[in-house]
Amino acid sequence: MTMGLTFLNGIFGLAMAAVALPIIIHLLFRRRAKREAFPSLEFLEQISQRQRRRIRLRHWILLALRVLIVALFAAAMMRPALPTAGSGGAGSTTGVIVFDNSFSMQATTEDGSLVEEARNRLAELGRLFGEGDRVQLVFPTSPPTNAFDGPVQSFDRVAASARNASVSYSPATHATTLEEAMHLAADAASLNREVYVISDFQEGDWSDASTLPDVPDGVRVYLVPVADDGIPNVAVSSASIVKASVQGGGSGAVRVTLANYSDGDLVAYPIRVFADEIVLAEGALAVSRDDYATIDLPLQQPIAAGATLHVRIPEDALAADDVAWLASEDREAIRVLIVHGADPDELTDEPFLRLALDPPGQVGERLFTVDELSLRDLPVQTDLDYDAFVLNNVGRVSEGSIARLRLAHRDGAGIIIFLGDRADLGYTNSHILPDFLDVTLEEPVSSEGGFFTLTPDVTGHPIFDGFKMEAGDALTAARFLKVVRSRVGSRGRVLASFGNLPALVEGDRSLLFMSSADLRWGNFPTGGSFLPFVHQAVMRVAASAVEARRFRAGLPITFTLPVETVSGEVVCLGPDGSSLPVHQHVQASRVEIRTDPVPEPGIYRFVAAGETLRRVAVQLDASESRLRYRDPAALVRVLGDRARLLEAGGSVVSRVMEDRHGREIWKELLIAALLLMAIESALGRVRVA
Amino acid sequence: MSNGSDSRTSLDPALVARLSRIDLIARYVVEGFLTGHHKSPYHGFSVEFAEHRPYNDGDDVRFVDWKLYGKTDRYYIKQYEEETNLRAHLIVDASGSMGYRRDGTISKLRYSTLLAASLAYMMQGQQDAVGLLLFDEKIRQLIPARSSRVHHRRLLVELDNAEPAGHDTKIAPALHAMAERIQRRGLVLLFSDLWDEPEDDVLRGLRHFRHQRHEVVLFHVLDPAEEEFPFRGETEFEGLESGKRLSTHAWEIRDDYMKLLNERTTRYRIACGQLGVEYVPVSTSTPFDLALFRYLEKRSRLH
Repeated sequence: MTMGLTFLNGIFGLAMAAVALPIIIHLLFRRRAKREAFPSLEFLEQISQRQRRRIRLRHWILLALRVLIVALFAAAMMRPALPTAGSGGAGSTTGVIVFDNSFSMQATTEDGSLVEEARNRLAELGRLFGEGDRVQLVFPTSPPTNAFDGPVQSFDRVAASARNASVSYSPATHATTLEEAMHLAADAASLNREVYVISDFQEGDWSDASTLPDVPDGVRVYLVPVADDGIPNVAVSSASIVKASVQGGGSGAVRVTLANYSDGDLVAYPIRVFADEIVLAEGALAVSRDDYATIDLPLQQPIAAGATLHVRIPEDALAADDVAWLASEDREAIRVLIVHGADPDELTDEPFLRLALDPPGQVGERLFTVDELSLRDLPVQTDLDYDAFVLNNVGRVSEGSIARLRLAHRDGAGIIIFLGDRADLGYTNSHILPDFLDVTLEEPVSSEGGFFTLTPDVTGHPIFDGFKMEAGDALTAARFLKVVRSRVGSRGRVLASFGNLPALVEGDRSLLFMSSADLRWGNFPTGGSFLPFVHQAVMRVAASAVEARRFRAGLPITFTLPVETVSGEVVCLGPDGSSLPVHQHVQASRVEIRTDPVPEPGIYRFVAAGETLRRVAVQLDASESRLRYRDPAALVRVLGDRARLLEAGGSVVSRVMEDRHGREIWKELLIAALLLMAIESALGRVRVA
Repeated sequence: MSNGSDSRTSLDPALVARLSRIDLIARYVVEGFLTGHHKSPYHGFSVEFAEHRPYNDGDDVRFVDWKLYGKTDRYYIKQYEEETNLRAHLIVDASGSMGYRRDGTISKLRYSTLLAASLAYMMQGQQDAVGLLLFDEKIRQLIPARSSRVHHRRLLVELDNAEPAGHDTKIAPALHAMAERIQRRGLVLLFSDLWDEPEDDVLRGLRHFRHQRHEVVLFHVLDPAEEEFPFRGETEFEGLESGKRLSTHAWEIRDDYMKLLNERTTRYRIACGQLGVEYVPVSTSTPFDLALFRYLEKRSRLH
């Protein structure tokens, strides 16, 4: 980098020739000294002897001052700039502009939408790029999208591209995009390499500053906020069709979660569920500030097959997240695999878990789809695509099987472990539990003629939803004859106890029950509480996997269908009727369907041979709803001294030019010139004593 | 004094100097001067006391002899008769510095000679004997005092022809030489810019006249430029007598110059007062009548 003094108006260097003026005037003045006859030099000689030297000195000083004043004025006109840390110089510039087109930019304020403000700020940047400069425009989509194949010289093209850019419903990937932009800038063959990020800097996208990349050498980053404060917002964080919950409701319900990012608590925020334009359910929800709350809204009538539902709350600053779409097919059952310790031919001897999850004689939609197998068959089971695994009274699980379970758990599936006589406590401690729970099993404990009762320790826990009981009451009247004593580590949470022994311990998407689904350990499996207990437990550990199966705008839709149901090419039709590319891949007995990233939320229909195979509701990513302001100044501090903040209303051009060329000092020069003028004037008026 | 201002305008040195003949100038000046004053201001000049007479109604009370009134308790008027033996000596400095003039004014020498001629004209009218001495560093012309018309004419011619010499001023030797030559008590009128050093020598020359009981009037003639030093900017001054040159920033030194000039004039005024010499500073822009009036006024107070 060039570190010398640079002049932004070098043409005015010609004005420097004006420094010769005082000298010329001085010389002319001397040459034109008037000759005067005078009667006698008697007095003049007396005076001159005393003062001539001082007068001459003063005049040299005055001449020097005048030269300096003219030089300072000329220099000020040239707009000199002192180099600062990271400043480039007078040369070509490559700018990479990250233009935030995430859907949070649709938010409106009194001044209009944020995206319009972003376009205005981008237009401001246009003044920074002249002939020989190049600009690339990058959108923070997933993955980042470059507007042009390479940086372009015409800023008009950049402005037009930003003007025509549609709002992206995919979550913004600012860290990745910023890194990409920095690489683009760093690779540019320009003296000045600059990255501009025009964004609303909402907390949702920018909260994790640790993911921000390091700014490469020679690159300067400018954060250009389009708002200077957060915007209050309430969003439908998630919505799903749920089967009748434990507490009842024959037509099912819609579970709605609201996120409150407004300035205060919401007391009764209205929610309505529509089937087409018919109100199917409604209610109100209290949500604390900066919190979530969920409500199940019972449907007033069953959902017709093929119906399209949407949940709507009052429209606010960001209208896009005030609605969520639902398809009747979304009531997809939770997929559960029960792994028994018993041999395959003995599975019918332990039917209670299956009966609880898949009771015979069900009418309508099923909440769970249940598969079961013997531990012995687990290694050969090719498809472990389940939301939850229930290990029932298993003994020694092979290393390979444990590895597969561990992988499924990492991908979001839940694990529930019921103990029993086959359980090898030592092996379980050493091989199974370390991957899922912070518990050490010690020994089986018998009731010695009495029985244990199951009492919740955390009564408000979701797993106990629907159980009518007071604090300290037993969860069930069931009698437990045998339990396992255990020691719970710091990462385990005891949800219920058998007296003073832990009974139900929760980990990350995992539960360990310290008794058994075997009648020899107690009568719990045949009691009325067993079914809701197992349901709630499975739903609890499977929630993450179910949530992960929901489809988000900006991401591809992927699912599988039985191969026999797919005849011909599958077509995906978006909310507006336009088609979306679909990739089909036959895998064993199922066909994997995968689309390109979906551009917007709504209902997507998959059709083959004129028949609708499935409809999928695509929701927004809730992270974009959090419109709280992440102070860009804090981000600048994280990015380091090569990052700058270009505040709205600030002088963008002068700030950037200062960084390119250094700090402009024309004002200081002007002040110095004026000061010297004052000194010159004072010195010129005072006679030498 | 009703038409005094007109007469003064007509006696402006710059205008008067346009007249070619000095005798006309002198006449013009004196008559203009007298026209401007209804009463002769020069009572006592060139007239001598004759006798007392009783005071009558209509007599000017200025001529009442108050001393005699104190002694006799009666009013007497002092009677004068013209004195024809007054001998006046015009001593004019004709050194190089006296040739100085700036911006349309007349030179100090010309001003001095015109003033001297006017005085001579006035004296001639009163039958006074008038002599002339022109000098620079030495005596250039000496004309003894006479009262004849021919003599007066010659004297005017010499004054008219006086030119500044490019030499230094040496006032003291001229004064001493003149003082030695004039035996009879008389009136000495010295016209000089006093650019001479040391001042004490000049004053000693004046004292020499006073020692011989001469009445001395010193006209310190200066050009307005000398009095005000109006020069600005870088100026190269050339001494009229020495021919030396000196460059300086004129306005820078003005205050010091003015201070030195004031000190010199003050010293002369005080010293002249102590010697009984009438010190009359005049500028070449001063109308002649004012110079004459101031002189006569002072002169009248001496008698």
